[in-house]
Amino acid sequence: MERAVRNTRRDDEYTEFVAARLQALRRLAQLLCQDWHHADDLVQVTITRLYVHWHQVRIMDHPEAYARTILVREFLRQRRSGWARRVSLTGDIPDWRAAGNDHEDAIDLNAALANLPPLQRATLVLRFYCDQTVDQVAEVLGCSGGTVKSQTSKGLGSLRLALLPADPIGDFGAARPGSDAVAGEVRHHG
Amino acid sequence: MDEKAMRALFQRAAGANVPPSTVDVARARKIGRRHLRIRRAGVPAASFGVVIAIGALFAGGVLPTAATDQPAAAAHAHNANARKPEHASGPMAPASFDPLAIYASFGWLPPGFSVVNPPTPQTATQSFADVNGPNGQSVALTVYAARQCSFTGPFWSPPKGTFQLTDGGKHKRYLHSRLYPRGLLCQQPGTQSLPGPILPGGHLADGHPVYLMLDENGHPTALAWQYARDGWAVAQWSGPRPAHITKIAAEVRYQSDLRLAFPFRLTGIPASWKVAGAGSQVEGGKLRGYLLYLRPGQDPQGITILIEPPYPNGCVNIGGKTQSATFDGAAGVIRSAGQDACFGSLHGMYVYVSSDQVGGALGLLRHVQVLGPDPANWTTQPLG
Repeated sequence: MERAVRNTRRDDEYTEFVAARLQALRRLAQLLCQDWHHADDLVQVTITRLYVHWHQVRIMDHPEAYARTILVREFLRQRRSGWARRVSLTGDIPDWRAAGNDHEDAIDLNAALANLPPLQRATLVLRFYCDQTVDQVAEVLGCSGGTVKSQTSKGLGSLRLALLPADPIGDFGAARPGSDAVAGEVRHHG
Repeated sequence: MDEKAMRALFQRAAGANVPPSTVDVARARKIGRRHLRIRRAGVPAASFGVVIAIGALFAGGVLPTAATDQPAAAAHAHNANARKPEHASGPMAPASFDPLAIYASFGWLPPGFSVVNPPTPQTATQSFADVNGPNGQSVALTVYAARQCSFTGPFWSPPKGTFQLTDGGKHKRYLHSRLYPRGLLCQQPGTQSLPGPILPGGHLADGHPVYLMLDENGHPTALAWQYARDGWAVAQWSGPRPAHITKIAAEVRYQSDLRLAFPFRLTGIPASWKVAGAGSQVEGGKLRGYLLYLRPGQDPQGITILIEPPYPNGCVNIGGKTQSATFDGAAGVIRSAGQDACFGSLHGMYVYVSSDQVGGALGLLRHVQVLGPDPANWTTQPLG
C-alpha cells in the first residue's frame, strides 16, 4: 500500500514536470530534427528515460537541464552512433499542414539549419535557442570548449551565408558596446 | 546580424507552426515502469523480446559466438578468440587512414542520391562519406581502420557502476546499464563506445555476409559488413530504408587515391604535430579540404585551422572579450585570451584559427601560408 502511494506521488510529480516542459522540449527537438514527427519521437525517448531516472532527476538542482542533455545527446547518437533508437508512436500520423501565418524567417532559418551537420546544429541551438554558455554547451555535448567555439563559428558562418546573402556591412560593428569587434569591412590601424 | 538578432530568430523559428503533440506521456510512464520492473529483475525491458529472438538465432548457430558467453566485464572488451566467419584470409584493412585522403567513396548510388559534405572530419581511424536522396532519405557511411570494430559476447552497456561527474564534480550521476546478448562494438574516439545488437542481414554480391544493426525496439537501422580482414564498414540510413542499401554497400570503393586539396600550407611547425582530423566540403562539384585539427593540443580540436572562400561578415562575435588585430594587412579579431583569431578576408580567404599552444592563434597563423581562392593553387600536402 505504501509503495502504491509512493508510486502515485512519483507519477504525479513526473507528469506535472513533463506537462510543464513538453512544448519547450518539442521545440528544441524540432530545431534539431527539422521534422515534427522525428521531434516527437525524440521527445518520447527523452521523457521515457526521465521516468526511469525520476528518483534522481527530481532532486537535481536543474532537472530541465538534465532533460535537455538527454534529448540533445540522443539526437546526436541517433545521427552518428550507427544504431539509432526509434520509438513507435501509436495511432495514425496526423497530417500537419502549414498553419495560416506566414513565418518566412522561421522557414529560412529551419531550411538553413537543416543543411548543417548535426553537431553544428546542436551547438547553435544550444547557444542561441537555449542561451547556454560555451562551457554549458561543452558539458551537454561531452566535448571541449574549443570544439564548441569552432563548431559555433563554422555553423554561424553557414547560417549567415544562407540567411543574409545581401546583408550590408555594419551590423556586426554594433554587436557589443565597448568592444572593438571589427566588421567585415577593412579598417586601417596605425 | 549580431547575437541578439540570432537569438530572436531562433525563438521565432522555434515558435512557428507548432502542430499538435503526438507525445504520449502515459505511454512513457508505462514503458518506464516496465523498464524499472524488469531492471530490478536483472534483464533490460526494452530489449527483452529482442534478447529472446536473438538467443534462438545463436542457439541455432546462425550468428558467430565468442569464446566465452560470460557478459563482458567492460563494454570495450575485445575477444581475440572470436570465430570470424568472413574475411578469415585476404588483405588486412589498413592499420590507419591518412586523414588528408578520402579512403572510401560510393561507387554506385540510386537515382536522386548525391554526395554531401561529410559532417565529421576524417581521422586516422575513421573515413566518412554521406549522401542525401529523395523523400528525406540519407545514408551515412563510416569505414573503420583495422581492429576498430569487433563482435562482442553478451555485454552490459555502459558497464555497471559507470557514473558521470556533474556540477563541477560535486555530484555523481549513475548511468543505466542494459544487458545485450551479442553486438558489434566500434571504437568512437572522444566518446564512450557502445556495442549495438546485430542480426544476419544476407550477403553482398561477393558472398560476404552483412549484418543488420538494431535499435532498442528491434528495428534495423544500419548495415554492417567487413570490407577487409579486421576492417568494418557501417552504412546507416535515416528516413525510409533505401531499397538498394545492400547494393550501395556492395559497391563502396576502398583505397581511393583522392587526396583533398587545401587552400593553405603550414610551414615550420614542429615535426611532432600530426593531423588529428581533416574536414572536407563540396566546392565546385568536388570534395575539397578546408579544415585541419592538429595534435598535439590539449584538446584534439584545440589546434584548428579553418580556411575557405570568404563570405560577407564571416567573423561573427561569438561571445567573450574581443580585440582588433591586423595580420598581413588584413583586419580581424582575436578573442579568448588570444586563443582564437578570425579574419574575414586574409589573402582573399576567410581564416579562422584556434590554438591552445604557447603563442596562441596569431603565433600559429605565422606558420600558415594562405594560397588564395583559386583551387588551381591549392595543395594536397598542407603540412609542407
